[in-house]
Amino acid sequence: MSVIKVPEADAAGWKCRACDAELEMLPVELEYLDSLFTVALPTCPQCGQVLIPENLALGKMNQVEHLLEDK
Amino acid sequence: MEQPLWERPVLRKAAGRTLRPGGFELTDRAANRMGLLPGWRVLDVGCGLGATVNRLRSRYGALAFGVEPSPGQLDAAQGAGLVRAQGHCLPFGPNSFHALFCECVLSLLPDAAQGLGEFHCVLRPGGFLALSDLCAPDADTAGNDCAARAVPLAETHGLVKAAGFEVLLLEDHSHRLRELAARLLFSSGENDVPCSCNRRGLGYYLMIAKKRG
Ligand SMILES: [Zn+2]
Repeated sequence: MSVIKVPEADAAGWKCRACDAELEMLPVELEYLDSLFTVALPTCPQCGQVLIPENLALGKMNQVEHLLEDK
Repeated sequence: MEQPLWERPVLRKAAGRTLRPGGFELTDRAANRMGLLPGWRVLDVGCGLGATVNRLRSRYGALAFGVEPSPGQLDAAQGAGLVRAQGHCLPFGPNSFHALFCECVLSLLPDAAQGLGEFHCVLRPGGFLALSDLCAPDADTAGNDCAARAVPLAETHGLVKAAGFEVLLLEDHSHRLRELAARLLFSSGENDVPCSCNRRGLGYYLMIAKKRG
């Protein structure tokens, strides 16, 4: 399946503190229960650290988790 | 008027060109289970962008055709063998096909029983029907999108048998529907799934049936 682009995820202006590298939108695999999603998220191109913006973590990602749990 | 979900860009972003839960996984599962052979004449009813037709041609060597009522979908479609027609009124003679696929479309037909009767007619005796669709926990079919029109699986099962098919396989794939809803939610730019496919208790199934006689 293709990489999901999340409108709320935005890497502009963010740098990795450890590497001093600009974050880039890179595909990250997210696993919820038995579902796997490849989502483009701000990622440090050097160490691979992923930034999950707070509004994404508390908003969309939280909703997706509920949606998948809800049988 | 708002476009139906399957014609909106957000679904293509979330689901790819198959425009339905499970992508090709259920198509392949059905094709393998029925033992689809090169040269079989196969029809995809509600073919959308032609993704399944192309898959059945390239991967299985089928002589595949598709019908789709929406001119917009057909304009955006790729590949050969696509015809504009309604699922309950097929422009093919009796006993024309070895297999018929109807993926995430049956509940959109104005009359599912009539559609199944038409499928039965164009299939050869012993021909296979691969049906995947949404199913609902109750018979509340208000509204117009695919989720709102879903009916209980027992009802569909009954209609398929009544249309002259023997049901060979019936599987629950509801988690694929929730995955699609999650992909839609991620991609939508809104804080809600842009359709009712997260409706409580809604499920998704794969059914394979064989034309009796
Ligand atoms: Zn780094």
